[in-house]
Amino acid sequence: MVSVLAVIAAATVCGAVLARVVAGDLSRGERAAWSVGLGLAALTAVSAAMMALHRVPGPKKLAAVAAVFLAIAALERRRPRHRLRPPRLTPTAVVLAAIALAAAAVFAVSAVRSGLYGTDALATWALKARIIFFEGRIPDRLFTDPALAFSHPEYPLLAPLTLASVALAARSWDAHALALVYVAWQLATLAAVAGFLSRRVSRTAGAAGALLVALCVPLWAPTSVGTAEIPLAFSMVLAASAFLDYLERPSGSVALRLVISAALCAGTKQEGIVFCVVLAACLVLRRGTRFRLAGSAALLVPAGIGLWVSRALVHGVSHADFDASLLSPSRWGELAPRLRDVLVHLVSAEIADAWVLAAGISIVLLVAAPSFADALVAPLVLQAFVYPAAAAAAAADPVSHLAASFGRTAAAVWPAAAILLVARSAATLEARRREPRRLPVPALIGAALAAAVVLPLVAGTRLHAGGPVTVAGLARPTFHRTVEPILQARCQSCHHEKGIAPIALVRYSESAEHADQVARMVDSRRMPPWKAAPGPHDFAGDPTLSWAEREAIVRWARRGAPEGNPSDAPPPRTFTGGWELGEPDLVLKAPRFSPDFSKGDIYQCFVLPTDLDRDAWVSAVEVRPGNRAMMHHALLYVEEGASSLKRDESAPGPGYPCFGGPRAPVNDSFGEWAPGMQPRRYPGGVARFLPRKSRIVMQVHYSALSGSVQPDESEVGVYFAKEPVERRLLSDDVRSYAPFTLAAGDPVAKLTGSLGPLPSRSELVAILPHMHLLGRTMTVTARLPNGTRERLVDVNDWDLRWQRTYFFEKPVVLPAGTVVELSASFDNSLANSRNPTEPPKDVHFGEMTTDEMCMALLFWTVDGKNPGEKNAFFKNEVCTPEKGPERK
Amino acid sequence: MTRLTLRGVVVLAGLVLAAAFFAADFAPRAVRDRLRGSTRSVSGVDAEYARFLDAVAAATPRDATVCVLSESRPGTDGYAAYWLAPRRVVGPERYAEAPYVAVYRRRNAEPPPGASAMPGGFLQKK
Repeated sequence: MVSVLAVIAAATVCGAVLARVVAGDLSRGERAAWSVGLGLAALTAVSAAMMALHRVPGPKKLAAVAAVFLAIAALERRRPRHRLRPPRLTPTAVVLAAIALAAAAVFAVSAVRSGLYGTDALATWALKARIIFFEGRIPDRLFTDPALAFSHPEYPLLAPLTLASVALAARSWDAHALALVYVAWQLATLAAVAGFLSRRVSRTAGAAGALLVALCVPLWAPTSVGTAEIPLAFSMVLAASAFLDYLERPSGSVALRLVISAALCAGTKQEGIVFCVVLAACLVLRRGTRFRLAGSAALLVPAGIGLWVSRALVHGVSHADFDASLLSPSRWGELAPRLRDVLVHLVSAEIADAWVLAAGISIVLLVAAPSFADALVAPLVLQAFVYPAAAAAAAADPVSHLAASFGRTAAAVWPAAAILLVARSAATLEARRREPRRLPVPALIGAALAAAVVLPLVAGTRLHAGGPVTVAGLARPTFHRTVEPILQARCQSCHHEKGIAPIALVRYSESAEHADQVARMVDSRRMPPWKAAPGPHDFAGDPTLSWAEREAIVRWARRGAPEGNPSDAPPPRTFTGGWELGEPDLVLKAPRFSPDFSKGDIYQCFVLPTDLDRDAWVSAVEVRPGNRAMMHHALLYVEEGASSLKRDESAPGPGYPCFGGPRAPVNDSFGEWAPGMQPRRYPGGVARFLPRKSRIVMQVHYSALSGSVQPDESEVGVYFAKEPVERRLLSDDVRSYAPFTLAAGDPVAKLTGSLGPLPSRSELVAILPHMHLLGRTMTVTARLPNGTRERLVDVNDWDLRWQRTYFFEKPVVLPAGTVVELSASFDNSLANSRNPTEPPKDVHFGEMTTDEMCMALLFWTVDGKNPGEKNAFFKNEVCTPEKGPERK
Repeated sequence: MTRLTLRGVVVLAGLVLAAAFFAADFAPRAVRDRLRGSTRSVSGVDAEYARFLDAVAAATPRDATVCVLSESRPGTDGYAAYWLAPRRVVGPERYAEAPYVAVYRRRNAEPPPGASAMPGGFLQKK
């Protein structure tokens, strides 16, 4: 700790010498800020130069360089410099400054206590610093190793280099002591804002500016220690103040400050480069300013160099945070709705808080008197717009991307914005003395009336069409108004008193009791359990929470799970055990069965005769579990033979054991049930075929984890088609090229398979991925005849417990010639806690738990297929390893 | 002292509102936890994981490539990469490149034959 403190102090002393040149005619606070900034930057530059010369920058070498530098500086003839006389110190300024310093002290103590571990962002910044420190050089692998792609190789290196340089000079990596570098940057930012406003406005304004900056908790939170936001905010303050000085009095010394601050911005983060470009553009467009082009060049040259260096160093490594192709004109159509989502999120999800900020800034900008700092309005607005614009081009969900980073990154702009706001406020107070101006009362009254009309309308707006969350509900979530409708729609089908879920979430008391757990589960997306990632085709009955619903639950829990007004509650959902689709035309009852869990889970098949005296068409099938608490899933099959009956008769008790499948030659699948799955009617004119005298074989998985000992007596409701049947629902499967082996220990064994080309046009109604315990991901894609690929389903977190049939909202049309491709990965390593063997063994294709399967059932209708035909496309097809499907 | 006009009051109220937006994030309890040295950091990394990584660092050379497998932190874990630096840390996708495999929080804590026990997991040299 002491050595790091000594290094920072020594660097600041050296920086003070440099600051005499760069900031000699500025206020004391600004000189102090520049001393810190220049000192740390000089230390970093010297260290980097030594590394470039293959010398490890140890403390002795750095101390020698500093000593030589200070000796030369001491020999320099002291030139008399114009010193500003400090403005008058007022009691108000003293109080404000004291509060700001107290806030800074809280940050300093908590930052040092937390060290650099406060945030996952250390993977980007402190990771690089640590590697540089331990290797004593900047290794190429920071920019070339694909294993480090997650750490943004394209990001500027100034912050990591500074940390590494301080650590090298201190001769140790002490994550807590290194947090002092962030404390130094923070204090320098406060000094820069206070000093600039003191010089240009008054000491009170300076103290007020420092206070505004010190209260910016998202920026100064310990979670920002280890990231680049704090040095970025500092650099932006230096650049903004130099920019304003340049507008007033362009000179060589101000241009030098522009160059250095731009270099600090560009060296710290990409947003810093953007800020330099924005400032330069505003400078060029500002008429009446002398040497506009020179000032712009002073900003653009360092920014350009920073950008070039960042790009030049990176080779062969790409990071997938952003999808640059979205910026190409052909994809602007996709970009626009993503940008809209992001902006809606900004004004909705954070509605209560964001409106406070927007109201505060708007008041200052609309009501306050103009000031010299108004030139910052355009650059800051443009800079603030960069974040949502960038989020819209995120490779994944743009709203999640913004939500994850907006608060911290936007806070980096705040210190520069504080200069603008305080300058305008001070100008207003000053104007009172010079030329009193009337308050624009009519305008304020008009704004208030408009707000009174607009706000209730906005407050009642639903954040997603058809969704239960309104703007007001999200702003102040209560159980009855906000959370209960979400639970009813998304959770209660499992989480009710007799449901399979371990806790009920129906009444307020039980929901409030588990509020933290619920918030954690939905925030981490573990609940509701829906494993299919969003894709080009929407699925019906997708219980995935929208960001507004997720945010509402998390906020509700964070605010202490308030109940709210019971009169806001929606009508309660009933769980009477009735049929969801109405009274069935045919009810098939399974025999009463009491599973014996002494040996773990039970897979039991029950034979349900239909006794139909003629063929039938079925437009829906609904399974009504007799004991939801222990039923994991049920799969139905149609059988015309008698194999299942023989098995049933030879096995003791009702049904027969049948892990892996019906263990009888069945015609087709007939339906399925799993927790949370809602029964659905097939699209109009589409039906399943049920031959006369056929039997339904129902395989039920009873979970030993449920703890239930009540018997089960499930039923199957069959709904016959009332409309003319035009298309028969057929099924095929795409599976891996069997046989396969998953090597022991391999955490990402990959399998592929394909089916097709399809002989005729078909419409895919639903898809059911299936793997066993080692499965991790599965993607099924349609390769269309024109060569394009359409993702059909993408399960990136497979869990055998949560398998289900995914029905498309609209059937997916697959032209003749389409090939359906499957790609899956398996984890047969020690890290997979579901791995049934330890140590892992080679695993092969098979139906037992300890075997693996890799297939996806496809439910589709086929053009030109006579509805009476029993077979789907590929009933006689087999797949062979690496060759793909062959016909017998 | 400057006499405040209504206009000035409104402007100052605007400043206070804007500051309140950021200051509202202040959580005294979080600060108190930090000052008391809570074992959990905000990124959710528990002390046992840190001990596990410390043990892995002690048992592997600095130029090693280590595949860290952890169900609770899938993919390449940035925290492990930071903690084990300058070792090269890879995720399951680059399992084949790593002579060392560090497994954290296996259901059965018993290390397989040939592996070294670590706090909360084990380390295996291929």
